Amino acid sequence: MNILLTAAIKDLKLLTRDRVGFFFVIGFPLLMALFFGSIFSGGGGAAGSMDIALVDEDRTGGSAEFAKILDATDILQVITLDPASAMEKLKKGDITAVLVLKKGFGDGSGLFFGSEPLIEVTVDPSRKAEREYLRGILIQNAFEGLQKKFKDPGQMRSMAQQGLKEIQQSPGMDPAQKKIYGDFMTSLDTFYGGMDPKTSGKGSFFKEPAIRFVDFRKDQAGPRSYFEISFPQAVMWGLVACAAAFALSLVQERLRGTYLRLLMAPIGRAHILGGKALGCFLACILTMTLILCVGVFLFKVRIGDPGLLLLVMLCAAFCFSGVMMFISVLGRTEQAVGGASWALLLVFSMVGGGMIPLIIMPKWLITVGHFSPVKWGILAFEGAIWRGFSPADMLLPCGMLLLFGLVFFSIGLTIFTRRGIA
Amino acid sequence: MITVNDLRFSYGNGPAVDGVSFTVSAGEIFGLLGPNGAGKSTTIHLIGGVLSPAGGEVRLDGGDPKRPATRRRLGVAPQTLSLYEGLTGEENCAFFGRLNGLSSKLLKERTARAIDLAGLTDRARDRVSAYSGGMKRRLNLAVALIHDPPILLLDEPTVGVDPQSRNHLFDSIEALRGEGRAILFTTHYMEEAQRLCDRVAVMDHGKIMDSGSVDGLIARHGGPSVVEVEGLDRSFAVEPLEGTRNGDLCRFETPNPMIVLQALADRKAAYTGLRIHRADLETVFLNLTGRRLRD
Repeated sequence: MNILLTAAIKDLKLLTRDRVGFFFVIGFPLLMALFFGSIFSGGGGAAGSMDIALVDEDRTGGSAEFAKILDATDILQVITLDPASAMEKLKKGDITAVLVLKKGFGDGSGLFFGSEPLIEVTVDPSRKAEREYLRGILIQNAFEGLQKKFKDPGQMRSMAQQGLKEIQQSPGMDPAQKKIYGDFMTSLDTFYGGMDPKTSGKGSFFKEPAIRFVDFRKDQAGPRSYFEISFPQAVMWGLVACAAAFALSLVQERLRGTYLRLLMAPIGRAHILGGKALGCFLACILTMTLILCVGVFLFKVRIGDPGLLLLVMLCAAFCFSGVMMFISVLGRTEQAVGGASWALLLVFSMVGGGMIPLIIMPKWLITVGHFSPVKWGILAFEGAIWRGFSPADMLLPCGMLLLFGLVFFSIGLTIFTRRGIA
Repeated sequence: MITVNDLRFSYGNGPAVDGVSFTVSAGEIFGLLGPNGAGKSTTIHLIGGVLSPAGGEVRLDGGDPKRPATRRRLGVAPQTLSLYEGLTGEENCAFFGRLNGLSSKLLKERTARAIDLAGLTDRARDRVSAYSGGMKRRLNLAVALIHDPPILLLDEPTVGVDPQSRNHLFDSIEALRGEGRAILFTTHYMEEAQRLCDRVAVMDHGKIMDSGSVDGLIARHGGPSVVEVEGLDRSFAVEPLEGTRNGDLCRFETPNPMIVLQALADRKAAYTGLRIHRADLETVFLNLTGRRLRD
């Protein structure tokens, strides 16, 4: 054990003295955590908004009201312009879209049932991703405007009276049909006339659209900030960097002759490789501790279950020590191993959700992600930090981490031993 | 002492070491010479227990080098600088000392001694990456000595160093011989082998072509010495001494240059210049291994 520790301490010393290498193990993952944490938490100032130009061709109270509703949203920044200026701004890329409210929009009658669209939207072709997002916002706000009308008995009464007038003046309508529609409009007028404007819309009939966001577990508050999501990802980046750094150091030992000197020292091969694995294991633990300390003390990341977190850290360190052994045999030169290790680890991170959210991936790629230790690592860390995993819940991700570690270490060890000293 | 007996090893494409035998006694420097690919490094790896022989055996003070306990008696200075550039000279010595089982107290003392032997006391706490090539070579040897081993394998220990460092290394190696260590030394520099080695073996194609003292090898494989005399009196007959005359220059090939010199003195011959080219180890090396370029 003394020899293993001696070898491991030597490797830790070497790691901390290589400034660039050390930056990638600690500094880079922290920067990633802060970068993504800030973006998604809105910590870097106002949350991102979409600038749109509004062209009001309708120029009625209804269209003005709709413009006001849109402007009041956090997501849209609305400026009212004439058509030419709006299109010019769109051309220059200053705004995302031009929204034209056509004539007739204000009375609301044709908004949902008419044959001609009363809202026309032109989106910057380079920002197609935002088109559907904008469509959703417009539909939501159009409904909101319509609902306001329904809640105002005065407006509705005036609409009923206007309807009655149009029915009575309609020359071609069948008298029997005219009587039915006329009676309905008169009843509607009487109904709205008897309604108290102060209380209308407060009953159960005029409830707000029933959209309420709830946490997925009642006993947990979920992540309090995006930092609680970005720090587990940062920990994974730290582990990836540790594995890459130690794999490279193993190749350097072989190429630079120190491995030969170690082989001729009075220690076994198991000591040499065990020392390297222990060094990597300890470096992983230190890296995780440092990154999580920054998260906890500076960014208020809460640790749900410290005991489970410790278990996850041990499993993750074991896993990435195995990964280190595997990637050290992916090539015979430093360049080959360096390139191959980052390529492999990037793929692990990508399909494992360490870089791109799993939600935007196709299903088959999510299935591929099951073969990435990064996926299980992130899940395990989130489980211990904010998902509120029980020890039983933790069995699968931790088991997968241990399994990956064992498999990768065995493959790496077999190839390394067969390859000899060359 | 090192005992190598009928050692055999193959990488699969023909034998790399083919029936090699020699011994290195305590207080002796044994030189292993050979062109690239001759099998020297493989022999050293077999002696160091890194490879397992396909046949024959290696014994270090009677022990099998595959056993870690036997390797405790071995110090190695590999041809490639086997040092951690991110550690200081002192830390490199201490690391390998600990691997060799030195206790903390002894480690401090031995580290200081090894660093002193390498002439690096002033730079002991500098990182190796800041050392010159010569300093690294000296440290490479110092690390091999950290645990005071009775047997040393020095694989081209002077490659790429300046004359001062080379001289320092020569003095250190001679001092180590004086302390009674058995030293196996490989080099491409024949003058080094000639100066340092008590005995040498010339190796090629995995076999030892011949071995023995430097003088013995020269006598057996060096060929005649050449005496060149300039401006020799025209009346001096060169034929009886098997000489040739080419203008102003006479050339005598002889196993013993003293015969020519004695004849010149006896006949009171007048000449303006004289040069003696004695066969040396390089001649022996080329005669035994050929002049064809090796990969």
